[in-house]
Amino acid sequence: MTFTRRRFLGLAGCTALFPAPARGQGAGPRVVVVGGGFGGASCARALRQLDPRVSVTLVEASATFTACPFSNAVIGGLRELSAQQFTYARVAADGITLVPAMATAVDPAAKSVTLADGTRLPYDRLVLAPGIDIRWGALPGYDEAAAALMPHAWKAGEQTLLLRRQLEAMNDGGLVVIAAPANPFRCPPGPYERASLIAHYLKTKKPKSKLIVLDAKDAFSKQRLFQAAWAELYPGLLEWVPLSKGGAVTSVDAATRTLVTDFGKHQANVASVIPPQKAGRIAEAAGVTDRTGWCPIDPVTFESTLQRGIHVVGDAAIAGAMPKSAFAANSQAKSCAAAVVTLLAGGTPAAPKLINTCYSLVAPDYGISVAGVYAPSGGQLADVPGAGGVSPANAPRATRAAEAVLAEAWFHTITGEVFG
Amino acid sequence: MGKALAAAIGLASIAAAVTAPTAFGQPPPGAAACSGCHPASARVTSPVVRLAGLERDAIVRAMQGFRSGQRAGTVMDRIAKGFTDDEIQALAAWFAAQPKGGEEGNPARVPLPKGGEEGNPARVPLPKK
Ligand SMILES: Cc1cc2nc3c(=O)[nH]c(=O)nc-3n(C[C@H](O)[C@H](O)[C@H](O)COP(=O)(O)OP(=O)(O)OC[C@H]3O[C@@H](n4cnc5c(N)ncnc54)[C@H](O)[C@@H]3O)c2cc1C
Repeated sequence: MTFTRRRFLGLAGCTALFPAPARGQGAGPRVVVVGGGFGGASCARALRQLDPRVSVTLVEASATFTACPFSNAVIGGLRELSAQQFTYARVAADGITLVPAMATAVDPAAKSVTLADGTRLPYDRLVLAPGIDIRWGALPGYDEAAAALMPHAWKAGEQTLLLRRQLEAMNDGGLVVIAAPANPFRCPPGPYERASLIAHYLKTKKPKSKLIVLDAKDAFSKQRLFQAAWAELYPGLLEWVPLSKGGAVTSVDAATRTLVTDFGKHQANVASVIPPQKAGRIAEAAGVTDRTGWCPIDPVTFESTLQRGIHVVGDAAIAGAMPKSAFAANSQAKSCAAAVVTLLAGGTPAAPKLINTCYSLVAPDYGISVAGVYAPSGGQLADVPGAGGVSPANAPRATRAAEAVLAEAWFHTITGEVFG
Repeated sequence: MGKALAAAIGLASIAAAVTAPTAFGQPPPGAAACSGCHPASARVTSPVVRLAGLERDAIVRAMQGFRSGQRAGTVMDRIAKGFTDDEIQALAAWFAAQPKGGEEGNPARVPLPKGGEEGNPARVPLPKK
């Protein structure tokens, strides 16, 4: 079955959430984008802007997008989840056909995407931006049932609220444990921002409590800045245990909230387990993942090196030196859109230059950042030498306060650009 | 946004003709990434400066100043170091050729609430307390 009238009529029932495109789409080349997050929604919009003749269909399983950036502030009680949520009405108003469904399969030979109800969407080029999925079972004991007791909160939404409620319900004097995974994973500084904002919550609301970060690594993003800030803001409250000191969690027992390492056991009152991850599962179904579970791509076009005609952006992609961040996903999406439009017109895409800036909050008025500039080199997206780096060490508190403001401004801008 | 952008793309292809050639009137390398922080959409308010319609020389001077360290930045000092003189010239020409969008460019604009997410119409409304 192809994209039939029945399907369109079916969709018409959802006009409140997905209004009909304001501008019709003609018989131009068809691009289907799967995943309406920071990568996919950005790419769909950029495609329409760069070439309005291209007909763009965005397949997104969820009617509302819940953004992960700043969700650690929700966990720490500094922000409401609703401030993280965005609709697709404005995206649709750009003339993008929104399909509120889960994509379940891709046929690269026939060039079609299959939806959960069996509908097939034909494409000339496909962009996959499905984000991450959890590798259930990769950490023994951590399955979906365990996540209901020891939330990962690595996809924002119910999990975020669950972790917040658990912290709110915990007695003063309790032990909170965060388990951080080995590389690569979504948002490299994210576990440490989470630790910071939970520590802030404990310091202000439950000061007799303690927080331990059990880490499967010996080094992490913005490490010196985080550790200097922790020593200043949360002395004696927050302890980071690296791999070499027994930080790697080898199994968990959710019923007793116990985290096991080679060096011993930690019984937590609240535990957030950030487990190993992989590309969103549609990527595997499309045959664009390699042994790592992530998607190798061409650094100029973002086309899969495993399947012609399928591009991958955002967390799912192996983007060389670029971290798995919303900023990077947005930056990649716009470069990918330019390449797709050029390829559809029979041209040769130019080498892109990409940027990433990731802010982290260590406290509500204390922000730090890491930035990078990237270009294709040796078949990868590589750091442009001499550029990028982290906020200065020993900067005055005014600089940290300014970066906290800029962090919020960034979130406001990126969500406005992507969904507004 | 669509019309403004279409116009911008039209203008930019003129700019592109006099600077580095860009395929299909597309922004020069790096330009698309700037709107991660510098708003391009007229609907976005931000304390971070809009680049569209800025003077070409002003952009070049700012980027060179950030790159050399003569101009203080929070992140731009780190980002500018990733761009060559030619790339900076192409970026400056591209942004200078775009119509000023957003707040400054629209006298009919109703001021948006400062900073808050209320400015983004796509945001799910807050529950009533
Ligand atoms: C706690 C935390 C804090 C973070 N903070 C920051 C930050 O400060 N700055 C930053 O830049 N990044 C941050 N990130 C990272 C950021 O959230 C991700 O890098 C970003 O969301 C990646 O974008 P994406 O488009 O690849 O995936 P997503 O944004 O997750 O979007 C994927 C979308 O695809 C949809 N989807 C998936 N599969 C299908 C399918 N088969 N069919 C239909 N739809 C599908 C999903 O529903 C989802 O909407 C943070 C992450 C976390 C967890």
